Amino acid sequence: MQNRKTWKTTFQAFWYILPLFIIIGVFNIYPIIKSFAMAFYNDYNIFTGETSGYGLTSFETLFSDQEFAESLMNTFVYVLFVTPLSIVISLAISILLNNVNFLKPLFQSIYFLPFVTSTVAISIVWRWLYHSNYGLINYLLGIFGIDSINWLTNPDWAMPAAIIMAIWKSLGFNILLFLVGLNNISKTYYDAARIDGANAWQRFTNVTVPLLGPTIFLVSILSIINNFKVFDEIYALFNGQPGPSNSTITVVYYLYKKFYTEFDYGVASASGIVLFLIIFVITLIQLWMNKRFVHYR
Amino acid sequence: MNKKLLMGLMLTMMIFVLAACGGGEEGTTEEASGDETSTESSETSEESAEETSGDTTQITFWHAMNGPHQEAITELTNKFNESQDEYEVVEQNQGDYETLNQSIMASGVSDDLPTISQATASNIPDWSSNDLIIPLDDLLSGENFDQETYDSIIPGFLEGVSYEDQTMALPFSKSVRIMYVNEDILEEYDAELPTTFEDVQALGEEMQEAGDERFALGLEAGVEMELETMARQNGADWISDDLSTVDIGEENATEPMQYIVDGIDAGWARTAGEDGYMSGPFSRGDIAVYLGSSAGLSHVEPGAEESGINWSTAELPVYNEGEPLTLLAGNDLTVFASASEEEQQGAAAFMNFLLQPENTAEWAIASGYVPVTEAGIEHESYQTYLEENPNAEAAAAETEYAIASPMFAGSGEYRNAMLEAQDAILIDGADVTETMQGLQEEVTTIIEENN
Repeated sequence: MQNRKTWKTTFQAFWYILPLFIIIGVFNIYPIIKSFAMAFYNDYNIFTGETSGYGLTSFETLFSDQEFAESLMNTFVYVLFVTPLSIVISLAISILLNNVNFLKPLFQSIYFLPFVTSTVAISIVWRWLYHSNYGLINYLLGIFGIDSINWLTNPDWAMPAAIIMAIWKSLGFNILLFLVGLNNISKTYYDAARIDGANAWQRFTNVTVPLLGPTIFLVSILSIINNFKVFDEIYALFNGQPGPSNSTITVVYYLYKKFYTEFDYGVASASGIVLFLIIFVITLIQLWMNKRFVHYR
Repeated sequence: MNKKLLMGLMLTMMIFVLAACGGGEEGTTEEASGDETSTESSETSEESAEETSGDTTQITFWHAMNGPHQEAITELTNKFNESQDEYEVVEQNQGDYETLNQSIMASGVSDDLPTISQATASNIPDWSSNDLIIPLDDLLSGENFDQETYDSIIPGFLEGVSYEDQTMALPFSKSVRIMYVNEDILEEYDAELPTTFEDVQALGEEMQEAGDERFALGLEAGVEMELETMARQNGADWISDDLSTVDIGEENATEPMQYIVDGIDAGWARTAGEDGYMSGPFSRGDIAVYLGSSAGLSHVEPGAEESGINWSTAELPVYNEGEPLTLLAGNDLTVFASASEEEQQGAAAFMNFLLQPENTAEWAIASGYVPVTEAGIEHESYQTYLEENPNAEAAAAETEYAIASPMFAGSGEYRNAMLEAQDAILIDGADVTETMQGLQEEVTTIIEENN
């Protein structure tokens, strides 16, 4: 397998990736190019493909739309809460799991279940948990003497409700990745640290975290990208509405609304591009931080 | 260990890719294949192609009906196919309404539309202005559609499918708003069946005084249907049929909105809110009267049986001594312009079949919608059904005065604006008159810009 890099071997490799490349080209790359183009059409008719010209009208409409500003704001709030909290909690759980070998597979499966269950099914369950009269969460709060919260109907509590559910749902996948990372840390580092007299916390901050750097980096990139694209959670949790009084509208929800209910294809594509650029810039920053702060063995 | 896993993954991916490519080729080149099942399936599809390519014209019918509704559609389709040998209808379930709409949008772009499809009123202006669907006037007066059937269609239903003075669809599954009544609560307060909204309010106030935590009036999460119904009963045009008048912000319309707000504030009315649909709280016994779709019967029944409440249905109450009125909802059938002349004629024959009294009655019985023709309502089978299921009577009785809101392009934006205004009033406590006046301006602009 150790061929030298020649044009011939490259050409051979090309045949291996061709099938996948065709699929990605048709279902990913072409739509991306097309939606970029759609954002710059004026008065686009999707059925005939006709347009009255090219321009920035879609972007003008988009940036003057108060609702889009709200959806951007909400998306940022969502990402800023879900991503770090999910990473911290799943890291803590995976370290605990890594230390109890007994029953580890069982707990691992339990935590992974939400990830493989459909978001819609999960949301139906959470709708019951959040219910103001019959919900388990308000019942538990009641035990501690806290008044019941209208999680799903109060605009102030709708976003926290969505965030809590999203964190819970994302745990499984992150835990899985962290466990792989933890398994790859050789025991000798911990032994050496122990000999040097490091306590558990010092071992965590000086051995686990730096050596887990690449995994943390991977998880944070995946989570941020995923969380920026939030739609299902909102749509299903609030029964097809963007929360009470539009309080949890996100960028993708806005896109969906413009495309499928208002047939405003240009504005929908433009909002997609804005989201793409945001994710792109943030990923670039993360890549830079990766080079700067993450150590690879 | 890891390498093996990786190899396994790559292998699975290869299989997927190869399977996808292989599938595409089989249909065109008929290559000999080792896979027995796929050869078999391509053979059967060939056979059916031969069968149909002879004299019969194939008509594709897309719908969004699932479960028992789908079974009923399949049965009707089979019956039609057996009844004649000129056309063969192939019904294809596309998922729910939303997926159906997305499929239509996608195949409209790729020029791969079916012959007939179910459609909701919000789609018809969009499809029509893009020339995706054809006006049905010629087909309905043509040889494949009986004049008698056409004359028997309930007038309000026909008005509901006309767009820019042409019949753009055929009414198929129609529901109206009805009142679900919790008999136990009425009995407890010795109250008569409410016939006006004032009665409902009186009951609510009585319940409040008695310290009852249940609600007199239950509405769906979106109150736009009830609000429009009450406003129209109160003499408002809401949006007039010719789209020239929008009076959503005038007194006739703001009064009923204020009524709902007052009811919610006072605590005797509520919307479904976090419960999603009011059928849940109603069947738990929390609600005295619930205004909802007649198509919701099948959702109320099982829950009410479980909790053991006594309930019935009745015609909608009336607002402010107005005329009884209810709004139509549901879906219609459209015929696509891309279909050949022959296919369109077949579509007419199939639609004619569906509207025969026994068939529209059968569909109504199986689905919970109301029959779309007067002959269907009077048909023996439906009358027997009503006798056995008195809860379906209210909807059938309301067909007499059921009307449809006008269709117009931009109805998606209108609905979004409406819901936003409603949330602003009911959740954020915005002023009713001010918000509704703002809404009126917004809706006027939407209609002017799109039509």
